[in-house]
Amino acid sequence: MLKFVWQKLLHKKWLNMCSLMGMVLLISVVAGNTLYQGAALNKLLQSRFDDYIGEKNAYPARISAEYPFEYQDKSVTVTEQGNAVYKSVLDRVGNEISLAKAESIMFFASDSLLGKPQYQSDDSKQDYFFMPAYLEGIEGHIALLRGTCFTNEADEEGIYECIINERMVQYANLSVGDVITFPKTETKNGEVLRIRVAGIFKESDVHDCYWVRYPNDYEKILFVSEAALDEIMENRAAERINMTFRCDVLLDYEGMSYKQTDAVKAGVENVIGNPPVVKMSISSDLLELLSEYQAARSQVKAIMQTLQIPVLALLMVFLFMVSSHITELEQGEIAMLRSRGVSNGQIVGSYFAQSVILATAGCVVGVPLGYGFAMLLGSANAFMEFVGRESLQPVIDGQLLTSVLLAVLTAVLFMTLPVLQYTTLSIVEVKQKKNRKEKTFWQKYYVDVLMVIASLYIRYNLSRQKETIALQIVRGESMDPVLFLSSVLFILGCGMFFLRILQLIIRLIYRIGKRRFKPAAYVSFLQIMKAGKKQNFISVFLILTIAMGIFYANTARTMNTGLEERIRYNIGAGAVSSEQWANNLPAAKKNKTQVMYEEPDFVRYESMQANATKVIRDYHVRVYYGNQSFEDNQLMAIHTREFGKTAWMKNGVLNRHWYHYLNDISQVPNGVLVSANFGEKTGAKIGDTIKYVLFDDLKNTRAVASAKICGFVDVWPGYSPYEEQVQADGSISYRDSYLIVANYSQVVTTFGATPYEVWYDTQETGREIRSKANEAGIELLSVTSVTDELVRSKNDASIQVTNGLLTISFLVILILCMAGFLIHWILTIRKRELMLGIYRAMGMKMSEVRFMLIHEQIFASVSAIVAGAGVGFLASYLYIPLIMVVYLPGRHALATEVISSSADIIRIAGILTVMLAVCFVVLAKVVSGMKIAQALKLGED
Amino acid sequence: MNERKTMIETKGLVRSFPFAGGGSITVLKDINIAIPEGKLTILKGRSGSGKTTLLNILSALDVPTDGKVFFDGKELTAMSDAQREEARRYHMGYIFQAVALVPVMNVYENVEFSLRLAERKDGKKGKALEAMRKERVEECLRKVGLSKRMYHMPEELSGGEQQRVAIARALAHKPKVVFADEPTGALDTDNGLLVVKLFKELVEQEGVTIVMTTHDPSLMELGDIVFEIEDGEISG
Repeated sequence: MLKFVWQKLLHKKWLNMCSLMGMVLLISVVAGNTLYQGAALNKLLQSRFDDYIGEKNAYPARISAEYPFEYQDKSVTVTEQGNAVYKSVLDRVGNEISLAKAESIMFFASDSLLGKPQYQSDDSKQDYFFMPAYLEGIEGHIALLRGTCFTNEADEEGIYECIINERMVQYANLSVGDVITFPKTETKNGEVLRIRVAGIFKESDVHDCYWVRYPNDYEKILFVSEAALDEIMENRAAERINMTFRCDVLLDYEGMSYKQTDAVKAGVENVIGNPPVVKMSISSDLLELLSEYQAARSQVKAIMQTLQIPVLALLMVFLFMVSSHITELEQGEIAMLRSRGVSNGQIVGSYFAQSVILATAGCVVGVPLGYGFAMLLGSANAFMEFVGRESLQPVIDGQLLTSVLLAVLTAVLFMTLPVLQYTTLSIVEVKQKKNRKEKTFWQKYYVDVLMVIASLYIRYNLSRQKETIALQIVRGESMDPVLFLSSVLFILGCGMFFLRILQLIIRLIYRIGKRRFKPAAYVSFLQIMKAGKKQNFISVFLILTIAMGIFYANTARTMNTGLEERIRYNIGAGAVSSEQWANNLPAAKKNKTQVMYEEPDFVRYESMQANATKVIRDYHVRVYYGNQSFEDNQLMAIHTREFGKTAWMKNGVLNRHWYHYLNDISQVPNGVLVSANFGEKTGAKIGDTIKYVLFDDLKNTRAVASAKICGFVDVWPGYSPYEEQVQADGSISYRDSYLIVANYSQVVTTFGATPYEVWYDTQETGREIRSKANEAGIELLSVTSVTDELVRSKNDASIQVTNGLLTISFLVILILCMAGFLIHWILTIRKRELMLGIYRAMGMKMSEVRFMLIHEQIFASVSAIVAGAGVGFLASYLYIPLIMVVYLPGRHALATEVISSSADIIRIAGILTVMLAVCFVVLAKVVSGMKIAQALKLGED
Repeated sequence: MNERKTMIETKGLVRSFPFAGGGSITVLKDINIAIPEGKLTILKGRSGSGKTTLLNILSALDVPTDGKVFFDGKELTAMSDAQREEARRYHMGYIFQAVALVPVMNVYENVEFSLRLAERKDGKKGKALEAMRKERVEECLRKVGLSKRMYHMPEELSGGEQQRVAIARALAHKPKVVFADEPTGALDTDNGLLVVKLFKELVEQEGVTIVMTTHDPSLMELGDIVFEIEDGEISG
């Protein structure tokens, strides 16, 4: 049996190679996606931790326990009692959470005690409070700035030693050697407690996770040794002392895999919900972080699963097509086997075995290739763009095996299906069925029309709910696959519908031209009209692959361009920085006067960056128009000329070039541009006067400015007309926010020096700008750089996954399109060799035969290619704005514009050209190499 | 009986096929025959005797290695490819062993197609042409007894019927010679006999020259002239 199957495979080696290619592609796509998914989810998890560190400057995987410890049983030392509680926490964490412990720290402090530093005179009224405390293992993590570390026990005079942080130095003006006397804290032997400052410390390593709470976070703490705390507490006269017990357990989040997240989260919940000791309160930001991760994870998973469906379906269709070709060629053989008593089961079995052999070979090549795909996906920077960045580490696990097996089973099924029709029908029935002129199922029941209608209806519905969907996405819900799949339905429906129309057109042309046609044209028309299902199939396949190729490319381009434009627009220029201005805030607070600001030297900026300009921005401006007033609006005060040179503005979004607007206000000192939504709301017109008020940091009115409206703009660098507001229930709504763009000099004349941002026309990163600023002696408060934001956006898991998957799908589609077409074509021409021989025998010229074949190609393939492109672009314009809700969910001043890149179109066109060229070369070879007598012989075989 | 003119004549015809590995095999050796106009000529021989090769050369589908072929007085072997194509298109009709109807055309279209191929540029145009074609197709189909199956597709016909359509197609454009390679090869004895009888009638009624090959001795008595080929040589 195996030998027979093997010989069968060899007999149709080219077709089986095609099957193998389809199988390899299928397995590599499935394996690649699975491998990549694990890697992407791991990366997503780690990037969540990194973001947390970036935002909060704190350790992300910390579990903190606090316990109001009451010290009364003096038979056991206080730290021993504390350690017992500590151990219970460590045990609970260890039992519930499967992550390794990176560090754990126990902090145990006495109650707050009134203390008198040595330098204080007896009649001083300043009261200081201190808490002697023990921080586990502190000695190993400090660098002494002055003095020494504490000793374990009290000296001969009964004075204990402590070390203090720099904050304490400021708080109580302490220095090394100072003794603090606690007049109200008596010890057992009747003396008062005294503690000497032995040293002042800071952390030995700023990156040491031991200092999960920075040394300076400890207020009023005198750090003493464990033994000293025991003695101090034991000797205290009070019977019951309220102490502070706190411990932090730091988990090794870097070693955490995406698979552990659910279990870890459940563990953290358990620990928080059931503390080991009554009254203990346990908290951890890890819970929120992991919840956010889970939301992001479902988003990434949804995107991955949705995006791969169409290409997997195409691969299945491809396998089915090749397999149908093979079984059709072997139908005689099947009939012969059946006539010799071979059972249907055995026949199906032989084809099944064939598929299994191909699938096995497919796995051998496909899985390593999939690994390569995963690496490629990981290095996708944008659509069809790869970078040499450290790519993701694909994760090999049981999931890989499951998905590959599933893919193989489905593929084997698809490959075995075609043989079933030959085993259930006799060869005569098969022929009859094939030649029956009845319409295919979809044509008969207008499935194509129904598909187009359904997809358009879904689109209509989704468009109506666009706002809601966008808000859901903003809130972190994952995408609805229907968003994407409806477009695929549309493409498929349109492709089939086009075929229906094309057939009508061909019929019409045939009817009109039937009498006049030359023999070649006549035959080719009959051929196209009656060639039937196979031809339809390849046409739909061509339309589908080309349309999807274009659609995928446009989706990726639109997403990437949209993201990039939004980043550029939101920041307003290449980079924006701010600096802390000197002001008289404390005095103003005290004296209830206006806050005055002092402008730093701007020349420093000019020395560091050629194109830098001042931009005053205020988001809490009150605007008066007539008797209406509006709160919390935005003001932008600019030097028009420099602003024009520095800021980024998308072309074509305003009625005129934006420089005209700048010119408009530059000519009127108190001229302002106002956002269009203000005009719509109030009915204000150009030439009208508005008044606006700025407030200082203490909400004092600084002044009122009167301005003349010179123009309305609905988009402006850095301006968002929609202010996002998070409601109490977590939902998000938008409030209209108005913008006033005024002349810098006018604003400064009216309001005095006002802190401004500096906008740069640069491609430098924030780090580069900061270091340049440092050189120029500027300490920047904040820097936002387009380059940084672009990198961050490209590294976003959803974006990266989408770019990677769209790229891989695009490439696979191109390969499939070419392979599918060529296979179909070469096989068809081979099958028609006898027919061509007859035409030639009847005296048809070589040139006529060529004309006939080219003519057929133009109607069957070229028209499908053109239709594919048309459907692809149509689907792009109808569906991409909808899909962009997932990637660009927030409301934005810049409308989503469908972008298509000529480079992608050239790629597709290139592939098609090669495809058609190969097809014509084969054609030319077949036709010119054809010996009529031999071709006729074929018919006798 | 009037002396008929010779339609096809061969002189010293030789056809050999080279082997892929060198050397060659000679299939036809010095064939000298003359086929008269308006007769049914049968080339008889066993399988592999060279009769199909000879027919292919006579019908301009193949060229001899040596020797000359004259067709209606003109030397076929001296013609260019284009001239030979023209000869096939206008003056010859073909019937093949494997029924070779165009599967995407119905019976009517199949017959009409050979008319279309043989139409000259300066011929009739438009409706007149259409009417003329229709008349001729119907006439031919009537002759082969298939008037009622004009709009059937080839696969809806039996083997014998299909072969009759092929005959109608070969005749439609009024060729000088109809070549038939084992036209009864795929048919049973009765159907085979019917086909050859039809040939006989056509020769008599239409005055067409028919050259056919067969290995079936029972059909030979129906031929006006019979050439027997054995090992590439005319033996009788």
